[in-house]
Amino acid sequence: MNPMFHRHLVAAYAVTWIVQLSYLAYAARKWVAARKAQREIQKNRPSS
Amino acid sequence: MKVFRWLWVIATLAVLANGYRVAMYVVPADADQGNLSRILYYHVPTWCGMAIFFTVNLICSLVYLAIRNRNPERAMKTDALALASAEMGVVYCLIGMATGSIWGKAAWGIWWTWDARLTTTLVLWLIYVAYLLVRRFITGPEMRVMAAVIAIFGFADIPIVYMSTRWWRTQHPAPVFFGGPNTGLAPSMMPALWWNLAGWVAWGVFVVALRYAAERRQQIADQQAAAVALEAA
Repeated sequence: MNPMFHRHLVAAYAVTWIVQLSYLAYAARKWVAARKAQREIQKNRPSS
Repeated sequence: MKVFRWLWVIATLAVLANGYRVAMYVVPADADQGNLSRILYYHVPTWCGMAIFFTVNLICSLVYLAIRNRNPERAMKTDALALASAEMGVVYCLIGMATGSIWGKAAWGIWWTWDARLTTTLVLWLIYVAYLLVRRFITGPEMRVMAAVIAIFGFADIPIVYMSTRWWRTQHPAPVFFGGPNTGLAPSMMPALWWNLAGWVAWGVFVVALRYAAERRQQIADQQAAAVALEAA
């Protein structure tokens, strides 16, 4: 087998993990930001 | 609930690690393509993940349209799940096209060809990217209705993508699952496929749950902000 093909195998697996981890990081950042926004609103809510 | 979440993450990573081990060291290399064929163990589960999460998106979109006036609170929850599953589906579709392109370069000598399978898949990806852009840039109460309608039309492309290798002559081979005679995998290769399929679907479920939680929090924060503004007025 062409040894170049090993590079393609490594590239395919690496691309999968890079894209998945990037999206996981995006989702986690959104989660942290939403939690912070919710806390800020609760803190600033005028007491009745 | 937190314990269950962590158990899910640990189990998912364990299944993915074992899937990698089986794919790389246990199942034999293909007689024609050698080790290159091991791309399949990430490529096929990716498409299965895409089909699952776009189906979830379709169901949530239909439910949203059906109950948005009757039960707005539950409709908002289904809308949050629709968004999370659409994003995950777009990610899986992107990975599927990227791994397929890398495989195609080695196997066919080309990164891309405008055959029916690849073209309909690209169109599918663009439709769901448009869906996300609508959600991102259009404001107002009709945004969610518009997004749900796009999701329903977008899903119509999935059967076309699946059947494209039967309806037209394509460079891409027939599907692994239900592809007809002379298709499918050798039984010796199936364990790697099943482990990676289970691992990547479980991964998708975890990330969608995280994204759903973030979107729900954002929805609640927006509602609270609106309530605070009303109180101040």
